[in-house]
Amino acid sequence: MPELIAQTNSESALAVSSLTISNHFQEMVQVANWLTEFGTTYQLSNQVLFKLDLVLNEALPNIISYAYLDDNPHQIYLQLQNTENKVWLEIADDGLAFDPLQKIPNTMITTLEDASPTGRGILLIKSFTAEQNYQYLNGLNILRVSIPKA
Amino acid sequence: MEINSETLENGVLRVSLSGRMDVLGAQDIDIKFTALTATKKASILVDISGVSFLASLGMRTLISSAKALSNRGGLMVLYKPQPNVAEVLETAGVTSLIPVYDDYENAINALHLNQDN
Repeated sequence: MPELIAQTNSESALAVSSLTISNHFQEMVQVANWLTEFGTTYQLSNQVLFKLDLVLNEALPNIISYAYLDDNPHQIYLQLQNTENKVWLEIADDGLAFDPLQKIPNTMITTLEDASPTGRGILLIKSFTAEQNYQYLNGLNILRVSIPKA
Repeated sequence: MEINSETLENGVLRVSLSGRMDVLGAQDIDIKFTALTATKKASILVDISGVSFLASLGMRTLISSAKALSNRGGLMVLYKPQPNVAEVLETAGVTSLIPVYDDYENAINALHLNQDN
C-alpha cells in the first residue's frame, strides 16, 4: 500500500488498516468484512460506517468497471485511518488517470423520462463526506475522503 | 438480496425487497425485479423497508424499471425506506423521479389515482 496518508495527514492516527483487493466485483464481500471489522474494533457509529460503506460501494465498482483498458489482473489499495475526530478512507488504483471530483454530476433532471439510471456516485461521495481530494501519483489514482465522527 | 411479490386489492403489485442493494445485491434481484416491474403497465408498490443499504447500482435497477414502467403508462412508488436509505435517495435526486411514501395509504392512493387516469 502506498504510504500516502502518512505523507499528507498531520492528524495523529489512532489506527490504520489496509486491504488490497483485485479488480473483481466479488471482492466487495471482502471489503464489507474488512469495514465491519474496523468498525467493530474502533467502535465506529453506524452512521460513520454507512457513509464509509457508501463511498466504497460508489468508488470501487466504477474503478473495476471503467479504469482498466486491459483484461489483466490489477490491485486496488484501500486504507482506513481512525483519528480522534474523523475517519479517513483512501482508495488507490493503477487504472486510467481519472479525477472523479472534477466530474460534474448530472442531477438537475427531475423527470423520470429524461433521467439517466446512472451517474450519481460522485455526487453521493461528495455529499456523504466532509473532505475529498484526488491526486495522480506514481501511476496511481489516489482518492482520499474524510468522514467526521460527530 | 431477497425479492418477493404479491398482488394486492385493485391490482396493485407489491414487490418487497430486503437486504443490501449494493453491486452484488442488485445483481441478485435485477432480472426478477425487471421482469416483475418493467414488462407491462402496472401499479407497483416497491416495499424497501427491508433494504438496509442502497448504492448507485441499486438505484440504477429502480430507475431503469420505473422508466420502462412509466413509458407503458404504469407507476412505481417506493415505500418506507430506512433513514439512511432515504437520505441516499434524497441526495441522489431519486425522490424527484420516483415518489417515496412512508405512509401506506398515501402510497396506495397515489397508485390508484394513476390507475384512474
